[in-house]
Amino acid sequence: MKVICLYFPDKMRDYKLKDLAEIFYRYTPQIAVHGELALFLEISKCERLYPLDSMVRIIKKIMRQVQLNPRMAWAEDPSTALSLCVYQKKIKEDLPLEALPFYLNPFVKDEVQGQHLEKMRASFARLGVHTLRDFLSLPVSSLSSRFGRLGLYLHEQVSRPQKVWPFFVPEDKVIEKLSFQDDWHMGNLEVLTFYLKTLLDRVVLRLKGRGEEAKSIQVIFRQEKFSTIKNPDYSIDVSFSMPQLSTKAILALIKEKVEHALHHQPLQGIVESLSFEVKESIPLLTRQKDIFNPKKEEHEEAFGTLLARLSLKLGEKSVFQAQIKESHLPEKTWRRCLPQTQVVNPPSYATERPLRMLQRPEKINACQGQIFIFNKSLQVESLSHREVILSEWWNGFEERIYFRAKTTTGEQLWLFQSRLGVFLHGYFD
Amino acid sequence: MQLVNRQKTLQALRELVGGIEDSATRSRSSFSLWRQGFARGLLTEFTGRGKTEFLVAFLKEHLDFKVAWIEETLSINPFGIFQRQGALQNITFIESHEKINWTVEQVLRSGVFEVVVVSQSLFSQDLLRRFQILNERNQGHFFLLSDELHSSWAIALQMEVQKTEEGLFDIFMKRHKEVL
Repeated sequence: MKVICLYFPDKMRDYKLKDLAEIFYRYTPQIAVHGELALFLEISKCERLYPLDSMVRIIKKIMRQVQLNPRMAWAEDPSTALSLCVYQKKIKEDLPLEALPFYLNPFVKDEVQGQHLEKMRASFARLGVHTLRDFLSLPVSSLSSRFGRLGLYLHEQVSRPQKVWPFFVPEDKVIEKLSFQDDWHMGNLEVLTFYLKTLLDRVVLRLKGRGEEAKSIQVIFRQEKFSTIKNPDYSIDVSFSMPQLSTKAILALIKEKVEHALHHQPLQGIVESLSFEVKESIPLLTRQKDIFNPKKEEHEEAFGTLLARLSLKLGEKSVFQAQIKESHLPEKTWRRCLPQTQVVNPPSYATERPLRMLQRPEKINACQGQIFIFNKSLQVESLSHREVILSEWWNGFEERIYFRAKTTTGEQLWLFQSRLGVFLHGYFD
Repeated sequence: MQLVNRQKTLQALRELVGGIEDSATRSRSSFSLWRQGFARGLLTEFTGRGKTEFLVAFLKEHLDFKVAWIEETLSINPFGIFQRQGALQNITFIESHEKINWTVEQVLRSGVFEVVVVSQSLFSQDLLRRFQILNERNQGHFFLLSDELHSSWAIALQMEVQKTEEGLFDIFMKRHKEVL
């Protein structure tokens, strides 16, 4: 077994160690936490993928990103790794006897046994036993007579540690929060962007750890409670048409949305905290890297980001890919679907349709070879390509007779006649 | 002396935006209906009653191109493109409403599309120049489909395309300057 321990001597503000642990879930599922004090990563099973020195580098990089500076140590078992971190020693034998509680249980602090251990440590100190080296040199038989079952158990754990690793379950939701000092106020959007990025870095790292991509994120500004503020939580929902996992891309989208929201409805009070909640996420599809075309991945990411950005600004339905539908009605021959959707278009047996279609057929006046469209009078030269199309039976088989009308000025219009009159439906362009 | 400096500055600026590139060295996309093909990185504008058909015929010959089709209010019929054997799976339709300038700029800046088609929109000289610089950087195709041709020097190629009754195209060259 090889265990890396991250020890956080200072109490972390806005951080829960369990949330932080999720970041490493992609490297190893063998994760454990000791309250809000230490985080353990068992790396023996993933050592071929991530050797110890690479893993240490990765951890250091992640810690820099989340702006934390824990102590780090590694050993063959979690108790020793934690003790080395806490007492800042290089080897196990140099550890003081104060480390014994960690050998009892490195994952949970045992208060009851802790009192017995303290008494035991005082006795050892009187006997001149100060380090684990001294402790290990004591004969086992003398321990059982003097300290009973606990002494024997501790000796065994220090010499041959064996611990049952607890099962790690990631949190249900990804929520990250940042509390502000009392005197902090949001000066401008640039200041806010800094905090948004800090939070987003954490969210993205956690999502990566969980193997997910964000589809929808809620940004919540919690304002100070005042009688004038009806709802202290000012929330902004940001949905992405394409799932996102890049801090840069998500930040740009969130910034745009927040800017827009705050412009229309400014905050009413002092902001106490800022939080992100991932409302919807989807599994991240990991693929082999294309080593012959490294730009491809970059390109796909840029495409996804652009689509998300356009959808956010123009509306989800305004950015789409067309999918062909089997229908004889010209207005129902295609439908909008998300870009990059893999679709199989059915073959078409319809006659040639115009490349330009009106969103709704426009009623026109026609008499004696003249048609009047959009305040313009056009002389029809010829009518051709007659086609009769019936509406669906549940709409009463309404008949439309389509024509291609060529005007003297060269336009080719696609008209139809129904019982309601003559309509322009499209034009050949 | 001042004139020489000015010419040197202009030369440097042209080199910077790629405007000095010779038309012969430009990368081109072939097109059976236009034997010279369309040079990449330039703005091209079509007008006439057959312009969309002409462009769709070009796209049919380059099915692998990623296309952004931008319109303020959608009037293109994707089914029509499908009937003319265009690759619908590679075309992203964008209905920009009043945000056409922003949309075109974002699309060009992203550099993810090989072809950008903007239909029925009028742009100022400054905007067209900006689009031209962005397109030059991407080395993509930028096609404008207009009822009336822009009078901007930023557009390198302007053509009037009329579709005849036989299904052929009459092409009238309105402007052809590939070196800006």
